[in-house]
Amino acid sequence: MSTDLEKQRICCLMDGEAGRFEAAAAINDLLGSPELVGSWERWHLIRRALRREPNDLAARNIAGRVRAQLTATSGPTEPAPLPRIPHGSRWLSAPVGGALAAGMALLGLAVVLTRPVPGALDGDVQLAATTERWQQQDPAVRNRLDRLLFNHHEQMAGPARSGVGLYVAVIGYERLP
Amino acid sequence: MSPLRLTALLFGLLGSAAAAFADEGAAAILHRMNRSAEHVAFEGTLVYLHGHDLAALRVSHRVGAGGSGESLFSLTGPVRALARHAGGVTCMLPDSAPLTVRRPAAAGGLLGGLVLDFSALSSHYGVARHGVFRIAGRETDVVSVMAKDVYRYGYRFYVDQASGLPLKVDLLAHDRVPIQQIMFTDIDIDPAAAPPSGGEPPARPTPAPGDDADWEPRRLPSGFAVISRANFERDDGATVRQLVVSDGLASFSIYAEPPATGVLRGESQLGAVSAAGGRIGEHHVTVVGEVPLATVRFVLDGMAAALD
Repeated sequence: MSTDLEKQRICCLMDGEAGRFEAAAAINDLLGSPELVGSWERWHLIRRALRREPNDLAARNIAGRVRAQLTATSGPTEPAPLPRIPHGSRWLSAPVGGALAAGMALLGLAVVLTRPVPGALDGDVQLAATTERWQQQDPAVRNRLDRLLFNHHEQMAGPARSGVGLYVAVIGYERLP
Repeated sequence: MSPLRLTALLFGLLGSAAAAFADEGAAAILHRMNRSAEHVAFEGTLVYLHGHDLAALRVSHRVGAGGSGESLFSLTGPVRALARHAGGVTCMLPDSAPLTVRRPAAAGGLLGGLVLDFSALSSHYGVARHGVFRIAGRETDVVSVMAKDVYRYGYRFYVDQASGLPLKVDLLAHDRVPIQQIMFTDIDIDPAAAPPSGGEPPARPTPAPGDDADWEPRRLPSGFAVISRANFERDDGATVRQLVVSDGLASFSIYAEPPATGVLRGESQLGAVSAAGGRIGEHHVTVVGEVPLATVRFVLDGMAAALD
């Protein structure tokens, strides 16, 4: 379970307010905790939407993650006979309902991002603008190339070798607006 | 191949064969740089210039009893972060889901352990010293490692005189035009961490013999050789086979796997990293590494031609 302090540190990191020697610790916290990674993802998507920066939802595999979460929390995937549901009772069991709620939360976020947001976001909110990492439009290809490159780097560098130089091109690559 | 890695690689070798370099002073500087990249802890800000694009990153390298670790965090553009630790590397990019790649159990740090054949190396690179220059307010020695053909990059290192760390690294095309530059603008170096005096580097690993499968390369650019083989599982359980190829400084991997969706068809680049992919017999083959596009193209075309 992530602590409030850790979440606060991640917020500072994202806002560029992490102290000079706090950034590394915050990144370690972030990348070592699936929960913080989830928070980071959500904040990241919202922040980019608010800034009118493109969000490539397909690349983030939101549908797949919702599906995985549904599968994980709703038990066997084999379809079971539908129980007779008394009128007025809860129409879903708690686990399934929770899974759907989680899924809907993600889907809701997707809706926010796919529709122009009123008020401060008047104008176009770019959806899934073409990313040019690897000059590949298909996020699956980009992801696979990242994996293959990382695997190669790890084979070559070994546990003791500095990886700073290896990954600068990966983290440093960005397209100007 | 990245500059630091290159550095690293370079210098495991220098210990026993420094005389093969034209400039022994340059060799000594590179040797020290290689060791520092592994043993010196630091934190700083660097700029990365590729083409006309400029980015700034906050980086740190930690050294501890449990091994070293690094983190990189973008200070410009979309937020990007990467952490590398004993178990592997985790990365957050704006255009993809979080990515974690575990370090292969058999990975022994080929870069650090490789023993260069200097007679062979001198056939493909020239090493020279170019005086001193100030980077991030610190005095550096400038050493170049220039490629003699189009199948590998050249490098120019600005090596901190006090710590041995490379504070600026230029990646150079065959015509010596910079392709990318990485430079610290400020850096804090742990004064307690000094490169230990080391002994002989471990012997160059002997790769297991190949199975002469139809996807194995029949030709490689001069000076390159297979130095390692590995297998790992894809998400769907299919086996991906990997060959690691190096000339002692530059390196790339050749991956062969059953055809699938989401594979690279054609050529692609990310910064100075090049990749090429296509169907070779019953396999999909991807060649990727920090080498020029000409190199990965040469390898893939050669594999395809061997089947004709």
